[in-house]
Order: sequence, then structure tokens, then C-alpha cells
Amino acid sequence: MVAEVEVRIESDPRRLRFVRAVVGRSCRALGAGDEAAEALVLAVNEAVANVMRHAYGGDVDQPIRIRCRRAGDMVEVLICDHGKSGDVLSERIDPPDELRSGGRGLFLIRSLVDEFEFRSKDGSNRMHLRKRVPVLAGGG
Amino acid sequence: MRVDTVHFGDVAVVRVEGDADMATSPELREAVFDVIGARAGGTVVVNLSGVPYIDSSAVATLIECLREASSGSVRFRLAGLNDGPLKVLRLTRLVDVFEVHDSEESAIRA
Repeated sequence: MVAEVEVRIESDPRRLRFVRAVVGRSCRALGAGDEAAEALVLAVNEAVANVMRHAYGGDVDQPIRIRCRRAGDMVEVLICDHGKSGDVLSERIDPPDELRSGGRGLFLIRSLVDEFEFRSKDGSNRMHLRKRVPVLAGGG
Repeated sequence: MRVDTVHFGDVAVVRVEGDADMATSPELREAVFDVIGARAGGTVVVNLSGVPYIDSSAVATLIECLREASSGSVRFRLAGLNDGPLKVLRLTRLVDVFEVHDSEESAIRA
């Protein structure tokens, strides 16, 4: 089994398709089943799109690092950027039936993962997304 | 993404192929808004059977299209949603906001 997978991309929305492909393959290689892998793909897509839109304000040539790894009974994806830090954890969850056009990314992320963590320190923003997956045979 | 528009009487069908995400949603929005703008009093069906993936940007775009249609007295229907996109609409609890049909044919006949 692979230990971890790391990719670095520029903050261009056209890279999201590549991100989804890499995260999907990596999560499966790290022991996630189809349902968990698909949930992580969707959550990571939302998190990376959030970085592109808000942290980098639409600039398409800024760095984003994405790392997938196994962490005990979880598959963990880290999304790291150096853009503007938003107060992600305190943002409200939209009333689901509201006909607003935007603001559903965080709601989706929180619906899809088991753990969600955001830290901003020394100009670096780090979001961890974790999803519980079957325990590996032999203690992993 | 590929977007084609086909007309059946007073119904316009927008057939979409490819992932609908932050990169491609503007193209979808432009195409559907164009059709809605030319369809006062008619019906617009967006056939998503060729779309394996949508994200919250695409959901936002579909909501904008629905609002645009409502303000122009145009009926707005979605057709042929695959499992992935249907799951996203359910998770965002918006599936009941849209008129969703299994197929393009049933959306045209409705």
C-alpha cells in the first residue's frame, strides 16, 4: 500500500478535474471504499475551490499543496495554501432550502467527512479532511 | 464541457456533457441563460445525463438558472441526473427545489 500521495497545483479552476482524479485514486489506494473515496473527492474539490475563490481571490497561478495519507482508521487529506485566511470554522451553515446561489461548499464538506480541521499560522492555511475507512488487516 | 441546444416546439433542451465544476459552470450558465432569454412563456429542460459530476459551483449555477427562468415566466426542468449529481443535490437539500425528471423525454412531455 502507498504511504502517502502529494501533489502541488496552481490555483487554476481547470486543475480541479486533475485533483479529483488524483484524490480518488489515492484514497482508494489508501484503503477507502468507493463511497468514502467519492465523499472525499467531493469534499476536497469543494475545499480546493474555496481556496481558489477566497484565499487567492481568483488568482490562477498561486500554489496549493494536497496530501493524502492514512491516519489510523482514517484517510486524511491535507489542503495547504498561502492565501488570505478566512474564518472557515466559524462560517455559518446555510439553511439548506435557501435559494441563495453560493455558500454551499462548507456545508457539503461538513456533510461528507468525519473530521474537519482548519488552522492558519505564519501565512499558511491548512485544512485537514478525514474520513473513517475499514481497519487494515494486520494493524495497518 | 460540451453544451448543445435542441428545440422541440415551445420546449428548448440544453444537453450538457462533461463535469460541471467551478471551471465549467460559467459556460453552463451562459448557455442556459441565453436559452431562457429567448424562451419567454416556454419551457427549458437541462439534460444532465452526460454529466458525471457536479460541485457546489454547478449547484449555484443551476439555482441562478432557476431564478432567471422564474423571473422570465419560463418553466425550468432538470432531466437525466446521474447518481453523483443527484447525491449532491440531496446533500444540499435542493433536490425538491427543482423539477427533476428521469429522462429528457418525460421532461419534454410533462
